Amino acid sequence: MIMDTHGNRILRLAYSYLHNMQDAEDILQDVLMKWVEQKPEFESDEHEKAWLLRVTANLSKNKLDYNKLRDTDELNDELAAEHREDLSFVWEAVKALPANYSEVIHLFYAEGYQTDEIAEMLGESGANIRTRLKRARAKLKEILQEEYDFGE
Amino acid sequence: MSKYKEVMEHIEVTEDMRERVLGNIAQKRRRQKIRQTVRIVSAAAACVVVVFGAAYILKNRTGIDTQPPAVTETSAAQTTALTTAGTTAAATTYTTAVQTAASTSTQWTDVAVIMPTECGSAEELRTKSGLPIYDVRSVPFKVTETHYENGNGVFAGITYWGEEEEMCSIRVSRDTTDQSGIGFVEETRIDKAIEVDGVPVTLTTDIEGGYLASWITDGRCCSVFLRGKNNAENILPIVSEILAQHSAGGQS
Repeated sequence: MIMDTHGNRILRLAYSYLHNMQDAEDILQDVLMKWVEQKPEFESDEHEKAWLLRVTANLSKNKLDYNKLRDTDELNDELAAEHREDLSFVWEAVKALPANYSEVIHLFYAEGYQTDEIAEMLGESGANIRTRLKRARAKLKEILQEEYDFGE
Repeated sequence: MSKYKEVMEHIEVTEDMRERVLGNIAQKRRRQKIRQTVRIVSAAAACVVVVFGAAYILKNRTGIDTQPPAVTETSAAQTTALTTAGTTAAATTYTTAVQTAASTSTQWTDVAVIMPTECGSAEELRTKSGLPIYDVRSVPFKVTETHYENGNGVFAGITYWGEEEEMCSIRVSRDTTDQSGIGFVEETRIDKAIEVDGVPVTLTTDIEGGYLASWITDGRCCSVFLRGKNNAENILPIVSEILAQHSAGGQS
């Protein structure tokens, strides 16, 4: 069942864009609905996974552009409740990135895609994705450095 | 950045979320299938009406075409005796045929299936249909979808859908013709005459449990169809709200 195999991955990518659970859940539902309606045929499991992530990214970006998002962050609350300040810092830093940077960070680090695969998925050039990844890392380093400095 | 992966592992589809999402998808699919079926049936009905209507008109036209030569011939032949019995009879026959064709054409327009067009809001619907129809607040379920339909100025309708397939459909006709579009199982149909805010209202239901309230005010037939829980109890406040809207011109 697609929900069992890919549900978490769709929800996580959506959350990385939208930063709250309710909107991410809406995207999960919309992606599965599209899958049910379109019944796409895939050459492999990898192909199916890439399709689902591409649709998730597109729907999440649409939501970012056209809807007012909810002002909650359940992930941050959970990390705080677990006293995982280290993870909280990382999440806050990624959250502070522009969406086109954080999507590359997510697909690279959480999903383990190579830059060329991300480029194909997002319909962009490999060079562009590599540049964005490099800039995103630099930005993250800068933000995290400030956070840690602030904490000292 | 393995920490980022660790962060993301905190996000998981819970059992509740799973049930909610799959339940919603199943409901949407059911609703889509119902709409698809309605569209197919409506389109098929429209085709049948067009074919039969066209055949009927053609048949009448054929009848007309046989008449003019008789008139022309008679008219040409006579120069002085226009009032002879034969000419008068031929002319009368022709006129009658034309009138029959004209009236048939009118009837055909009236029986044509109306294909409603979707509007974006009650205000747009009122403007396009020219009919007094407003959103209602007393819908007894959480509304997840609303559709505004303009039936070519013949009727205007607002349909509210709920999370659990509940449905509330309001229609206002341009005249006293019932345009509710609701059919009942005749063998189990029950009609009851009641009065709401001084207006006679007919309540209709059947074995399937949906309730239709219909009434006539200001020369228009209005109706509310409700499907869901406690239909009988919940339909009356909606009727009352619509009556108040109409008497206040939508300001209630």
